[in-house]
Amino acid sequence: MSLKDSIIGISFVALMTAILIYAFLGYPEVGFVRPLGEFYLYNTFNFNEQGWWSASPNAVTGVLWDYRGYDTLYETMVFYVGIVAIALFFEKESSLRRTSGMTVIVRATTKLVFVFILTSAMAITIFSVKTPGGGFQGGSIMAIAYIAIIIALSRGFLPELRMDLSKAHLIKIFGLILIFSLTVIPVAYSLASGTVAYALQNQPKPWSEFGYPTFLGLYSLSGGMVIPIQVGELVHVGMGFTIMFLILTEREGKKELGGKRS
Amino acid sequence: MMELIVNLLLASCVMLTAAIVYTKDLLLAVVLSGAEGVMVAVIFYLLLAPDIALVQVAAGVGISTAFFIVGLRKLRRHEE
Amino acid sequence: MIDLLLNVAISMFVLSIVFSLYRMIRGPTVPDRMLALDVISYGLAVVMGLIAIVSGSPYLIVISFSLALWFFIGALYVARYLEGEEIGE
Repeated sequence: MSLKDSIIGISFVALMTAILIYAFLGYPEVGFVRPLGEFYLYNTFNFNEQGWWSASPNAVTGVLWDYRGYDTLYETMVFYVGIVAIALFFEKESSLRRTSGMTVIVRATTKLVFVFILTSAMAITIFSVKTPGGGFQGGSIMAIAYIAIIIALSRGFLPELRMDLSKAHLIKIFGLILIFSLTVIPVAYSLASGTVAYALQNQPKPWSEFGYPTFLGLYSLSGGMVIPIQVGELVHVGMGFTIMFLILTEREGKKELGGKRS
Repeated sequence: MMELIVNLLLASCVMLTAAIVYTKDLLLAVVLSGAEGVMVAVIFYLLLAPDIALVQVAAGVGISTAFFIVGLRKLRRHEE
Repeated sequence: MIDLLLNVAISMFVLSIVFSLYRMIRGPTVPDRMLALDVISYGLAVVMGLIAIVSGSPYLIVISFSLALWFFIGALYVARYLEGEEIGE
């Protein structure tokens, strides 16, 4: 490594260290709340002044779905467009050929751990009302389960789990349609009947006659429509990462090799 | 006590970054980036942000390392 | 009594993490370092669970599951690479 490379590396590390130290010095004291935070803290669960309230006991969920719901929705859209671009450029006709994979100890352990990981992904998603977590976290954990199967067993083991490239695309689109329809139905209802309805509502509002949880019979489970939307995002994100991994592990130049052998 | 631990973890993150930049073995660089992701997740955990730590462990450590290994399989392991 | 036991357990696990840190810095080959990272992460997962018990906030325990589950997979990636075969075949 030459002297110039060393100088560039050391100056980059020093710059990043200075930025980190500067950021840590500006860290506010415990108990300091910005004006925007004051707005959320005052309005999220305020029975006395119901002008801007979200009726959601969890303030983070209130910010994510009630105040900034379209932000979350368009993040999901950006993820979908990224997957479509990768599939458009790199997708070939896939061959899920079954091979032996790694040794028998690793294969047996991976089959056990696959069940554990899928269970924890479901739990993190469904109980995200009370514990940290949510659709994106659960989806990436679910993708790790399928990636482990691809690595330790082989790509050809996926059809035994009722999973395929086209089936993964179908399940992903199903998750997106679930989120989209749950968002659009209240808008259409409001436009059709001329009453007030809330597009990305978390909890039912008493003065609005269209409320999801009473409508779906989900009120006792969690309160709010968080769970169906989170399940849609779990399926969407997990299948998206699985599709990316399946496309990227496709063997390159298979047709040329086959041509030479014949 | 908590601030001391967080500062130590931040310092170890900087040292791990320097090691990742200077090593010639790209597989070692991938392993060390996994270690750095774990350090950042512990920092988020100690600062009481468990949901961010969950994203860091799942997406930043688990999935990105898998993609790095797949990319490394198509390249050479040692630099220069 | 139970608090004393939990504190002793936390300090013993932190000590084991420090010992494995030595192997991770020193270790001559990549598999040594990956195994040391494995041991460190399992220790960290147990410490996170113990901290959640001590502080009495059960929502902190979720990360320890995923950390322990991931590191099984992380060792799997490196082992598959060192076997020298195409990934996914």
